[in-house]
Amino acid sequence: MASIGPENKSPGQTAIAAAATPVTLEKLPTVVPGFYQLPLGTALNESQAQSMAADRAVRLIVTAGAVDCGKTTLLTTVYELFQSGPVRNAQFAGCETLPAFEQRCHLSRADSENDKADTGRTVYDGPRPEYLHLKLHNTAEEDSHTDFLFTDVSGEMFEYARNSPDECKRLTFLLRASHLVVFLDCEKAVQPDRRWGMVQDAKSLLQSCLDSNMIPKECYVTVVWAKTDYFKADKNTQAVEQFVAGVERDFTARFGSRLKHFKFHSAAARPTRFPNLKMGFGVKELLADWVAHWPQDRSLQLEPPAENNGERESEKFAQRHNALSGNA
Amino acid sequence: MTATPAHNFLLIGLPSTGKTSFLAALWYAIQQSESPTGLVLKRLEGDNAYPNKIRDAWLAFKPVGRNPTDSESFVSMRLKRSSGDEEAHLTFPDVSGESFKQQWTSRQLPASYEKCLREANGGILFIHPDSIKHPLRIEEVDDLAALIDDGVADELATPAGPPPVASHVPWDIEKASTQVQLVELLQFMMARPAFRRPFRLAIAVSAWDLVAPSKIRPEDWVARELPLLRQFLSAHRKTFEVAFYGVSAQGGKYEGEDKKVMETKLPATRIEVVGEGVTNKHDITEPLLWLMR
Repeated sequence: MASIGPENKSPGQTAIAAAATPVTLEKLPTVVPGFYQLPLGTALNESQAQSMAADRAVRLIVTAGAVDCGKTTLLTTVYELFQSGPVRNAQFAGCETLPAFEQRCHLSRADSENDKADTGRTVYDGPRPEYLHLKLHNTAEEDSHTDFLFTDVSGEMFEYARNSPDECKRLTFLLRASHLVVFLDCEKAVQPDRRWGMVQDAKSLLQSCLDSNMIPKECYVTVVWAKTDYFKADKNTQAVEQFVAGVERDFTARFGSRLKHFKFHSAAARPTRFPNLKMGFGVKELLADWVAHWPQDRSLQLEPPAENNGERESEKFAQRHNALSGNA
Repeated sequence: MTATPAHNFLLIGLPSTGKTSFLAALWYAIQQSESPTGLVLKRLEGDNAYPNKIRDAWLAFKPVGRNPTDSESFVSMRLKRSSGDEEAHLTFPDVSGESFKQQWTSRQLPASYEKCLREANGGILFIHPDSIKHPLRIEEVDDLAALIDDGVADELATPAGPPPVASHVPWDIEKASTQVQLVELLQFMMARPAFRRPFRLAIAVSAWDLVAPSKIRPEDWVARELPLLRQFLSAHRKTFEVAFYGVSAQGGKYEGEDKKVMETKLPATRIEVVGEGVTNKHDITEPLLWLMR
């Protein structure tokens, strides 16, 4: 039986704990005789996530964007939506990181005694991502369970990545992404002095990921106007629409031909500026998209390479196979 | 001569959810003749001090007491069907609610529980309407406050200012919502090597007398109050075969008008059970009969 201790924590666990609240799990006693150790339920580190992906088909959702753009809030909102019932055709079927989600939701819960809902900041702790897990059941299909892993990484990690393709290449989790969600922060977009910097940062990030070949060919890329309640509350609707259209045109011109699946979306996970928007505005649609589309669902196309002069048995097999099938 | 079928049922539930009250009422019900039950006591065996003690408290309208964490009482019953000769040997490990709670908070599972799980044919998951903790979000509290006070509504309609100063109460795993804790308990069960699929699980909403006036079915009540748990069970219908019951083992509150009414009844008719397939509303063995099916 393994004991619980600091050595079992992933680096980011320390980070989120420092950012948000003391973690009761850290105070756990070591396992006493006569007891079995149960999973801690904290966020998964890279090796735990890879281990899960090796064990079963997992859809990896990467949320990317600057510090404080709402990445973690989006994830906690997905989790919160299931607290009150199924979301469209998806119903909750399990979670291996329940305490991690609960901890991240804390500052938006009444128990925190906060006046306003908030999310603890995910602190940068090197290029080591953390992952949250959700298993969903598609009610439209019998026995259809899907495991999702969501990256929960700090905005700093993406700042380094957008500044340098070499840094971007360190984000190896991008190579496994089923969906990449790039955030455009509407809170910054309504501030003239921050608007264009925010757009440029998001563009640079996407550019860096593409130039460093870190986005899989079949990956679904969605650029999300996050905190869209700031737009809805803006009285100058026409100016907002023109700005949005202009940015989307620019993104499409620059990246549209390089990405097989590319689109825009608007969401306000926890709207505060526009009372008509309810919690999770636009999040259900994002979730539906993640459930419906999965690049790895396609054939893996495991045909042997058409040309090879190798001497290994597998290569000789490929030569014979290709000769027979006329591929050589 | 065939051996008596053995049935080992787990009683699962967080603290103060009615597990021990259920056992106390059951121990009485199978030994009385004033109200028919599907299962009756065949013969006494072993040490019955514990079931007798909790039964006596139940008969005297006294709380049966909480089972402390370090105490695991096994209640064993030799029963037979009242409608025939089929016998059954039922064993209930009366694991304390604190012990279940500690699985969530301390992430440790007693080896003795693992043994019970290995031998279990099914279980009853107890939920008490008065001890449910909901995952209440701040905006839900604000919405409720706004319903009561228009002034609050105006204040909330004002755009949010700068982020709040961090003066919050730290996160405490013990305060997690009931549905999250119950889902985790079931996930832990499923992940144990000893767990056998499909696992029959009777969901017993205890103190059903508190809920009954709303005329809701137990299944619908669980879906309304614990939607995450309901989704989880629905998503794992091949792992957990589930039936929902409302069980009033006490018969009401041990005070005031409730107690006066109960004092006029035969003890066994204090018990009320509702749920699909329940034919006798005073028969507390109905969930067991379903588990034994």
